[in-house]
Amino acid sequence: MNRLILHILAVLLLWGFPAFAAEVVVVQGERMAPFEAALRGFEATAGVRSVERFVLSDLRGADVARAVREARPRLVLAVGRDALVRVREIREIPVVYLMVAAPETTGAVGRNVTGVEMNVPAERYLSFCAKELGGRRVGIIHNPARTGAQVREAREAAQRLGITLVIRRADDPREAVRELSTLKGEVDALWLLPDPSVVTRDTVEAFALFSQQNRVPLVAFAAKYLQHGAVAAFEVDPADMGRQAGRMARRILDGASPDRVPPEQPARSHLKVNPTTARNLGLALKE
Amino acid sequence: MPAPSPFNTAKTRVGTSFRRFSSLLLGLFFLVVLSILTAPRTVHADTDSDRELLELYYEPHDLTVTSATRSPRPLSRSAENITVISADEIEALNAHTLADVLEKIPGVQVAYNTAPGAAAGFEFAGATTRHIQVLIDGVPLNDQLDNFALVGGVPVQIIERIEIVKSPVSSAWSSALGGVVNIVTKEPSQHGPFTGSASFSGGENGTRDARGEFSGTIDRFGYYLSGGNLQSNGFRPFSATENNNLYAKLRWNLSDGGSVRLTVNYLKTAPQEAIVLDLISSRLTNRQLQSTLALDYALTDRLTFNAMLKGTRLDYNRFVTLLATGEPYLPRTVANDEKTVGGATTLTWRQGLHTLTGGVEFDHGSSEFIKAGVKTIDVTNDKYSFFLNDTIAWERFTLTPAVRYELTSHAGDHFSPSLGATLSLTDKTLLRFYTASGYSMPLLNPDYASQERGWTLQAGIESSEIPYLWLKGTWFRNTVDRITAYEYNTDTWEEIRLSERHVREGVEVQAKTASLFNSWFTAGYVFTDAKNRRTGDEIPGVARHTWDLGLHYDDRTFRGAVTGHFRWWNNPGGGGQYKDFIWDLNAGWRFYQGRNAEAELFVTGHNLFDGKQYPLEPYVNPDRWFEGGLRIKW
Repeated sequence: MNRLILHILAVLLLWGFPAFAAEVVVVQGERMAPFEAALRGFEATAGVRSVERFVLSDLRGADVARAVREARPRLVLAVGRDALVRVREIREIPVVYLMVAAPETTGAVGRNVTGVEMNVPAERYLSFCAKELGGRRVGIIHNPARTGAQVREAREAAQRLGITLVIRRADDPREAVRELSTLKGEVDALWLLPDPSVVTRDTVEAFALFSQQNRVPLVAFAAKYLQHGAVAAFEVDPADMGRQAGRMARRILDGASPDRVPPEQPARSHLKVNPTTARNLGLALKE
Repeated sequence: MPAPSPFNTAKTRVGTSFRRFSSLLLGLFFLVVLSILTAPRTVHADTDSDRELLELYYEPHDLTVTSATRSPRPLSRSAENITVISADEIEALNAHTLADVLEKIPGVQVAYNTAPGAAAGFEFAGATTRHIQVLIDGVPLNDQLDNFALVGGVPVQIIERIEIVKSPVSSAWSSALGGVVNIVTKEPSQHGPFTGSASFSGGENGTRDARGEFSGTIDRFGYYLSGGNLQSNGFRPFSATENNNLYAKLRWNLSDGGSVRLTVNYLKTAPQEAIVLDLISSRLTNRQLQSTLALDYALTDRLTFNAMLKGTRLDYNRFVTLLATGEPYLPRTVANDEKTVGGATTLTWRQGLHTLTGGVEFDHGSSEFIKAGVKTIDVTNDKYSFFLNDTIAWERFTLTPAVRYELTSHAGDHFSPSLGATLSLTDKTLLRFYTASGYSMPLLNPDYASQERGWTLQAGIESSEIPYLWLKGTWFRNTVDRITAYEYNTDTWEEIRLSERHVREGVEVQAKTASLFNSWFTAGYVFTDAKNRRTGDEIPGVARHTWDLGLHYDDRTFRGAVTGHFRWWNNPGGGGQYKDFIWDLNAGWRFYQGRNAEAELFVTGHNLFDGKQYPLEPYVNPDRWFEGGLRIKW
């Protein structure tokens, strides 16, 4: 019995090791469930035969860029911001990123770099605010160092949709709460951005209180905020984004130049609604 | 000098040194409160790591990974039936010790938890404490003599995460026929040079719990320090308890990416053990010192190295007295002095589809056991272990083969293989399959010196396809051979040693709803059919049905939870009562939430409806009682 078990083990150990020159090298920051889901989505559509994975939290101080080069992959998938920062010096291999909120702040600006951003298009949020919430004045509080690009995109979308953005700057949560009070009477809807300078446990409560007291609906970027007072959220699914990145990678592996495959925003997002908050605000919303 | 009374409660028995220690902690607590309220605020480091970003989008438990094979894996790639309890969940329980936490886990039976800090025992669907490894920082809490772990002596404030594996995992963790409770302790805080928390609670019957934690990182040096004192006069005669604990973790990050870590863990627990046979009462004093020195280092980009030296000292005394006269009762008075030193090295190689972990462990243990003043056991054991496991992740499929081979000087060699597989049917549905051979290391106690072996077969499904509902179901069949048991020849009253075969089969179902209006519901049910194959009878004392229900609320300012647990102990003849649910209420009010500090008042109502839940008559569970306290973090 023991001999049989050892033979089975030996076969399993040998399976997959010949993949020394992996077709795709995956670099990811940590082993976290959303990253794993995104990776599974990628593998489902990229159609690659061999994948080698470097997890930064396991490798600690290793020179990952050098390790990636030595693996001679045809493409690098960077999952998360930390991974994209670590491979930004690679210019000779196509790099596709995934699960990165603000890729422009990572310094990975080469022509070989493309990927799927984590933010839902600003136009989706703003047209929802205008059509479903009846808001022509949408309030945003943000730290330009962190979400500047998203706000720039929002300005352009607002101009197209004829919406007025009321923007306040905050460098830390305390300032965010102060700035929130200045929006009283100035906005018809509030849009919460994924900005760590602004979104904390305390500030979310302040946003929810502001929303309730001033009857201004709060729209968030993740469904977890529905329970804290947001009326709606556009949620992105890591597996969906992984599949989208997989399709981009497939095009590059089939011969397309990475600079001909421009970065994309999530193709799919799911509107989630808190019906009780909506009812309290006199809104009729459907998911 | 007057002789000390054998009937002293914990408060008087431990004398002035404990009182001085608890007074010191109390003073320290108020000093810390004062310093927090008056000190200038420190600013937390502004970093946008992946984890911090993802925590904006997801709840922390949605990011969980586990280390059941000694190398981290996401739960979605883990074939074993693993339950993970986070520090936040422990805090929401207002728990004092590990026993209080285990009591709330579906499929776990906790007995003898008669007061905070009591000498509680626990089982996983019939797998007794003797078959379950409890590890703190990778070092066993179990003694070598009986493989018993005093979970009532483990403070919860040092715990970052508990991973509970309810199946044999000997291929990774050695003697673990029933499973593993793996305690991962807190790391030094990255948010500043001086952060921490302090809490004090008090309740009926002199129940007091004072704790403090300090943590921080200065350049490459990180520290985490914790200390606490827990005491209670108990809720039945002779059930007083007192625990003291100190914990330190120091971490030095090397310039080239590795790190060196030193931990020291001191636990002292001194519970009384109720009245037995209406004649005697006993008190334990168990002191444990555990220390580790570990190095983590990346040898190459694919190969990481971990080396750990460990040492433990255990000093256990059971002092038994006659109720009638107060005199020591020597036949049951025992003492056990154990020492263990050892080391382990682990290499993890990541290549292609594989994450391969292999290692070598060495332990030298000794035990001196004194009964009735006579040294009856004086043994040593050398143990060499070799283990190898692989996690093969291929698209939606994960395969985890593992083997371990162990050579011991005391009880021969042991081989244990395991094989696990997971398949993600969809993004929301996961199938699990796991089979393993496990063993329980022969105890140094000669009465239980045979090697017990067993196999498990498990299959499970985990799904969140139904909106707002997470479901997990597991079917299990565990077989254990060569279990040592004793019975008496009723004619001659001679003790007869038996070797038995037990089969435990059943299902475990857990459910949790998504949070709606800041509220969510949890439920767990476990059915276990445990049979003794020698007699064909059901095994007494193995809970046939267990239920756990909970209604939870948390709006970040107020939180509350009503939890109920029920164990049908199936222990006729033990004099126990177990027809009632035990309902507890935990509530908290975060009355101050500043940018860098918060303060919370909390209250717990135990056994609100005076339910009865105990398998054996002397160990009656407490009736309704209340406690409350203040917790401050900065």
